[in-house]
Amino acid sequence: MAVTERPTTQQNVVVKEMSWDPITRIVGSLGIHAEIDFTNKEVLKCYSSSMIFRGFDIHEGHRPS
Amino acid sequence: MATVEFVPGQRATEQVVAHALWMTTGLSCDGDSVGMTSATNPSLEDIVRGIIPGMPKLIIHHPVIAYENGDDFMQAWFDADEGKLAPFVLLVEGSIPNENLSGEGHFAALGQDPVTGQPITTNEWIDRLSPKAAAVVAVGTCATYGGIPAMKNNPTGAMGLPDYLGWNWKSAAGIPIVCIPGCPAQPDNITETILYLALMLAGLAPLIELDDCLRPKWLFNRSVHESCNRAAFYEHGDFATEYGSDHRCLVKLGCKGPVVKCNVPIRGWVNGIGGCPNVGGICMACTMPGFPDKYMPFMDEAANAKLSSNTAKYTYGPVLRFFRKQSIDLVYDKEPEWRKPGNVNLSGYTQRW
Repeated sequence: MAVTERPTTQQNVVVKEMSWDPITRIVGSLGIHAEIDFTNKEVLKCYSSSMIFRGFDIHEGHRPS
Repeated sequence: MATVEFVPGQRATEQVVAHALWMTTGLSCDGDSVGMTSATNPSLEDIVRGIIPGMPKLIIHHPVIAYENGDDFMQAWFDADEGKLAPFVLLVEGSIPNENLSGEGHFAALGQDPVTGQPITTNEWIDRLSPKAAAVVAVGTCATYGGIPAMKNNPTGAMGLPDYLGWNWKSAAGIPIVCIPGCPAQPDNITETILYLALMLAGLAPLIELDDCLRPKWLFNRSVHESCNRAAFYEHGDFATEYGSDHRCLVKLGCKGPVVKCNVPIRGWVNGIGGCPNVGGICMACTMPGFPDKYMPFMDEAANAKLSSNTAKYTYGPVLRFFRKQSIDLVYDKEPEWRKPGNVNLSGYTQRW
């Protein structure tokens, strides 16, 4: 888990960027990246990322049969 | 630790710590990882706990079974890149995309670059780690030959690991890429090959024998048909006409077994139970380099198979079936005539004293 501390100028509000990438013990490649305001107990931003693209659904004109 | 040595030099080789880095971030479904957790001979637990005499201690770094998350998990990859984890074996699951086609994005990646925060692509990890690995293993049909992500009209330009690194590629220890195909690869085939490589790197086994397609020879030297327990019905020209009908040969339903190299009919799946054609499923040829394009449509009988199965069905098959049934009914299903109660022994025995 990567934690980047970035205190902002407003009244000692602590905002941390945290990322879990890859998330293990699941099948599939998932990463979660979040920006959390620990002072106000609020999640400011949260992204998920899928690390692989297989392109199964766009095998145009040649579907497995 | 063993007090008795079962193999010469066992104590020395058991002191060696080897690492296995398993990448699931090729284009795949992680089916091989899930399959491997059900291996029984040897099981994953046997390998991790080192119950096999002489086997080096093997530490497995695997996204599906690791307790570590995120950067803690990725540390092993960065350590391997810096040469801190020697010796290690790199196992790749999933086909390798052609990142030249991905433009500004990426098709497959694992972890982030600590400096730039950008994802590190699977291809970059393979480029970085394969020269340092003691052995490189491709697990599953996607990683070995391309499989479904690499079929016709695919958008990613996917290919197998030997296509990417080169079919004549050899590791620093002089070992070619080891391919364990299957969709998923048979669990015991995976763990057995890992075990073999571990013993080989410890100097307890000879160099692994591979065929032209880089498969372990002792696992993939026979076709599905040669090891199928329905194969004799083909010889008799006696074919199943629908799924679940009976125990006859499945070729007319589209089974590709006669032209597929795979040991699943002998080995079964979990703990020896099952095996696709043994339990009534057609062989779809999932272990083969030509899979899936050259075997489609899966549910139809191939033209070659039609010719040979009809030859069996309309010429010699019924003749064999008739005479074999006659022999069984008239001769072999009957006991020899001397087995009866009474005061006389009719077996032909004569007393010699």
